[in-house]
Amino acid sequence: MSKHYTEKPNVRFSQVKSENLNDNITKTLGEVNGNLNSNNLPVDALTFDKFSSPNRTSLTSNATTKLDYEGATQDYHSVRRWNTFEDSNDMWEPVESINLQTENWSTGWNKLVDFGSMDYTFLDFDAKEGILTGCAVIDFHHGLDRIVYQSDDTTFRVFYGYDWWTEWGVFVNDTLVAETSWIYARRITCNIPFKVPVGSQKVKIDLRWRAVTSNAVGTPYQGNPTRPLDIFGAHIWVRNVKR
Amino acid sequence: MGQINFTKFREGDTPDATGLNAPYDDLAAVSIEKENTKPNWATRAHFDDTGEKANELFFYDYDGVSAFQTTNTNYQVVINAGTPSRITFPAGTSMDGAHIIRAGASGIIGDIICNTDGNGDGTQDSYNYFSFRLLVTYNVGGGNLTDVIAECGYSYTRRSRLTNDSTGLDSALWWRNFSFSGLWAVPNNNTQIISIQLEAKVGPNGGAGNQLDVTRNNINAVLVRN
Repeated sequence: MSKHYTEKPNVRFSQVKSENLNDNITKTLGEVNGNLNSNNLPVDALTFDKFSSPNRTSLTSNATTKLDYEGATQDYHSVRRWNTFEDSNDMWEPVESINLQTENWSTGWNKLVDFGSMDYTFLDFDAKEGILTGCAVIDFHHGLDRIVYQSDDTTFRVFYGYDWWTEWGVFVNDTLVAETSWIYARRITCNIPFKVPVGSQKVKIDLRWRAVTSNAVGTPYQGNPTRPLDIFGAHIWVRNVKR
Repeated sequence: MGQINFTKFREGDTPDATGLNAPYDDLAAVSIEKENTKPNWATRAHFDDTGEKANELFFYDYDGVSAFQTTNTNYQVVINAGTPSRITFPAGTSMDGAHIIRAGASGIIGDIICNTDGNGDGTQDSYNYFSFRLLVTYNVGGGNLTDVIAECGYSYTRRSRLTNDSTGLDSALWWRNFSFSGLWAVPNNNTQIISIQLEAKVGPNGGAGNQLDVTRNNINAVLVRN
C-alpha cells in the first residue's frame, strides 16, 4: 500500500463528523480496491514458491503427440510425429514417403499436413501476449536417383539429380517466419529456430516445404520410378514467453 | 473477497461499534486478487533471482578437433578426447512431474567413411544412414533410468532411399553440421536429473564398415519449472 496519512484527524473533545470517518477509511479502501501497485511489493519479493504450479498435459493420438505446458512465466506447446517415438520404429524407417512423381504438389510452399499421415503435425493453441520462441525439427531425405540409360549400344549408369533441392519453412498464422536454405540431395535433420511477437490470440504453426526435382529419364530398372521425399520425423515446439 | 464495500456514514447517523469496525475488519480479512492491483504494476525487478528458478540453463561444449569415430550399430556416447559428451547436473537437481526439460545438440560431422550406401531398392535403406540422440539419465527412487529426449538422422551420401538402379556408390558428404532439439516430460515429482549425453550410431550395414566421425559438438539443456 502506498503511503498515505490521516486526512481529517479526530481531535479530543471535538465532534466526530461523518466526513472525518468517511474520508479516512475511504482512502485506505480505495488503495485496496484496485490501486495496489509496485509500492506495495518490494523488488526481489516474488520468490519461486509464490508461483502457481504449472500444468502439463500430453496426448498421443493419430500417431502424433501433443504436449501443452502452462507455467507462471511461460507456456510450452509441442507436436511431434517421429519414427522412433510415436511409431516405435527404427531410425531408418520413414513415417511418410511423398512420391514426387505421382502425388500432387506445387513448386511453391506445400503444407506438410496435406501429405498422408503427417496431417496432425501442426500446433494450434491460444497464445498469451509476449514472444513465441521455438524450433521446428524435420528429419527428411530427398536424394539422388541412380538411373540406367542406353545410348546406341552403350549402357550408362549414372547418379542423377545433383541440382534437386528441398527447402523448409515455418509458418505462424500462414506467415513465413523462418526457413532453411536450399538443401541439396541427402538425408538431413534440420533444426529451424524461429521467434515472433504475439498477442493474446489464436496461433497456428505448421511446416511447409518446396522442392525441385525432375522426371525420370532412365529405364525403371528396379521398378521404383519414384522420387521420394521421405519424412522420418517432424517436431514443432514453441515457448510462449508471457509479459 | 477482493473488493471491500463501505457504506458511508451520513450526517446525523449515530455510528455503533459494528459500523465503525466493519471497514477495518474487512480490510484485515481481504484476500488480494487481480482486481485489487493496478494494471502493469509488476516489473521484472520484483522477481527474486536467488534459489530455485523458473528456468535453469546448462551447457556442455567441446570445441576441440579430436574426432570421435564409430562403426557401432548400437548407440555409443560420443567421446571427445577421452571425455564423454555429457551434461552432468549438480547432485540434488530435482524436478517435479509437471516440469519439462528442453534440450538440443549440435556439432560437426567430419571425415566419414562410406563403403556402401545401399542398393536403392528399399531393402538396404539403413546402410546409408547414421543417427544421433540425446539420452537423459534420471532417478525416481531405486536404480537410474534413461529416456530419449530427441533423435535425428543423416545420410552418408546423396543417394536416395529408392533409386532406379542398384549399382554404384555416391561420394560421401564430409564436413557438415548436425543439429536437433526436443522436449522431455519429467515423469514424477522429486525426479533427480542425473545427466544428458549425446550418443551416435551407424545404420546396420552387414559389416561393411561405414564409419561416423564427429568433431566439435555441444549440448544445451533448459530445466523448465514454471
